[in-house]
Amino acid sequence: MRKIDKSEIIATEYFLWSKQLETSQTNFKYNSSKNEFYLDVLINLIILQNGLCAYTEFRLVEEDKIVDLKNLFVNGRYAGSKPESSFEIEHFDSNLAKTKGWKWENLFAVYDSINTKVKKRQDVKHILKPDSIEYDPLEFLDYDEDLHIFIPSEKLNIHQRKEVKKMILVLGLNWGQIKMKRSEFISEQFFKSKHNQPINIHQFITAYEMYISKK
Amino acid sequence: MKVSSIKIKKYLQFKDIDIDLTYPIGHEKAGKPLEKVCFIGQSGTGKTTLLRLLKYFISMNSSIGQNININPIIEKMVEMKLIFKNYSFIRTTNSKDGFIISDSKLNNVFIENKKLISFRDSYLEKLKPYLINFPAELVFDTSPVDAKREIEEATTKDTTDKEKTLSQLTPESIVDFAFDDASKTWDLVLKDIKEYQAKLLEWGTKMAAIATHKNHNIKEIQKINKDYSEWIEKNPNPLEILAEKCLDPILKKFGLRVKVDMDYQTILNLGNILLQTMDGKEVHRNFWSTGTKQIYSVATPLYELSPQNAVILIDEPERSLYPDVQKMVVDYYTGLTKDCQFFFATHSPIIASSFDPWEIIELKFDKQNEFVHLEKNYKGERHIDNFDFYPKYLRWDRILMKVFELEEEGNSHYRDEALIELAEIKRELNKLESKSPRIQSVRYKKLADEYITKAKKLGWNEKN
Repeated sequence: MRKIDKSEIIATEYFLWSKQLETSQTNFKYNSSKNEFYLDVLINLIILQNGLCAYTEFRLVEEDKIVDLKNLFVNGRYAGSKPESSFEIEHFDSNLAKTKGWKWENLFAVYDSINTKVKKRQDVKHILKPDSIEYDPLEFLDYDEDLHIFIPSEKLNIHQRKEVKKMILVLGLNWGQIKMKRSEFISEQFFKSKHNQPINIHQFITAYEMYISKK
Repeated sequence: MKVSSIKIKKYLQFKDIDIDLTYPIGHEKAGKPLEKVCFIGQSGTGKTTLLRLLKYFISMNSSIGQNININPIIEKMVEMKLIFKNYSFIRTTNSKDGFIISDSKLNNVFIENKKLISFRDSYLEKLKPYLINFPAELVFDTSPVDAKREIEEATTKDTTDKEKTLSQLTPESIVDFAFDDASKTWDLVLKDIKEYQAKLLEWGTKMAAIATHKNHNIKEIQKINKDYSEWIEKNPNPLEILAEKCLDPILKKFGLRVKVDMDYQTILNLGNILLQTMDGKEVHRNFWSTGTKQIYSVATPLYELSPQNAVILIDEPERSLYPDVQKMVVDYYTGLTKDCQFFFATHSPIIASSFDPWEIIELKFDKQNEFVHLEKNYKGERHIDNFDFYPKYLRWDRILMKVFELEEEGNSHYRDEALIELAEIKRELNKLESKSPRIQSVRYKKLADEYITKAKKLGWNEKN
């Protein structure tokens, strides 16, 4: 799970609207999927995440499509349609979805199966939040190169390890389908690099970097 | 006859389905119809319905199941491309009464159901049977057999060969075990045995006549003995053939074999096949396992009806079969026939492992669970090297995850957390080892024990 910088707001209309809501301290049920800003937020997020799932780094939108998506923003609004891919907006802290569903800091673009089949409405610990200032994958995560799974970093204390372990499971970092795709991808890229073939680490970047550091 | 494509615009839950049933580019049979096909998909996606559609389009018989008539709801929505030798037909429904058939010679000819057979017979070689259907729930009669009746039926039909017997069973040359008891094919075996017995009697009479003739000479006796031996060699006992070539190779997986060491009259009087354990104890039909019944009910008709160029539909071939039998059953069934096209529908990863990726047709619900579409399982050109998975090369768990799209590799609720713990212990062990490789501290030993216990529970992953 890479660190995500969410400071570049392209969906400026949404951003102004959400700030107004925030300053007026409005609490209301927000159904993001029906909201007119849904696509604006989703596409802005997927651009910032460079087309990757915020948690698993599984590629959701091809790299060369990212610029096209960016160009489809006109006057702070997204004017295109949703790319044909399985991704959606995810509320990191699902408890906020009801009252502050519009809150930018709580939103990520993720692989839809991670949202609907793994994370769902589970409670979260903010220790493993990809856009938090403190988060650094190298400080919080380690990668077992044999089992192809993320584990808590040994730099953490026991309490932190426990929280990170829980979050690894909640965010689906080792979820079956992801683990299978990741292990196959890394094995292929590693073999190619070892035999001087061109490689393209366009997804699962954190895992790949941790993997080769141990090889 | 073989099916080379199925197109469904809209029918029941299917929408915009376009199934290519030919070998892909790069295959030695590229462009020719597949010899076997496997439908997979979640329950309710329509695997059995596809088998029924095949039955309907190939047989042109409006009844696809008991009390189910397909015509009124299928009009113009489905088409199938059928190939027989040099003929290529596209069949689609035009009204509730018949089909539109297009080919190079007959451009859009309307064929009513009743005229179908004469059309087919006039353009195609006679094929009997050209369709055999094995539904998931086969009829299997275990009631006491009226031996006399069966023998009578088997022997009094004015037939000279199996095809005629078969056509009497199914006038339109479609054998559908949704309606017929599969064990009825035993009639064919009985008929063969009866004929065989009659021929043996003929030989006996001939040999006796020569031996008892007042002017018999030794050369004539030797010659008839030689002729008889040659005939016996070329014409083994039909029951022994059935046992050796068809049933025994798979029945041994159940610890059973066909009882063949009986005189012919006993076999005929029994009126049914007898199975026995490997040490010779007879097992009455009422005590056959459901797996044994399943195998017998599919294998015997396939072997005895000797279909050629036919389409064979088998729904849920894995039913009641242990994994070791599932592993071999696709090759076993297909090996009993010649030049047929098999369609299987299954939920079993073991059955799926018998297929190449181009033979797997995966049906999938859309996100709203409203319609079913065909999941494309290759990228770019439909070439043998471009498929997403190759079941024959995969482990069962990978087949479940890649082909059946099972999301977890095991019981993730327990396993995923335990794997993290295991990796953490291993990391700790490696750390201790790097500090002092030769000294095994108390902590090291404790961790090693903990690791072994946990790894054992997790099934010792090959990378442990």
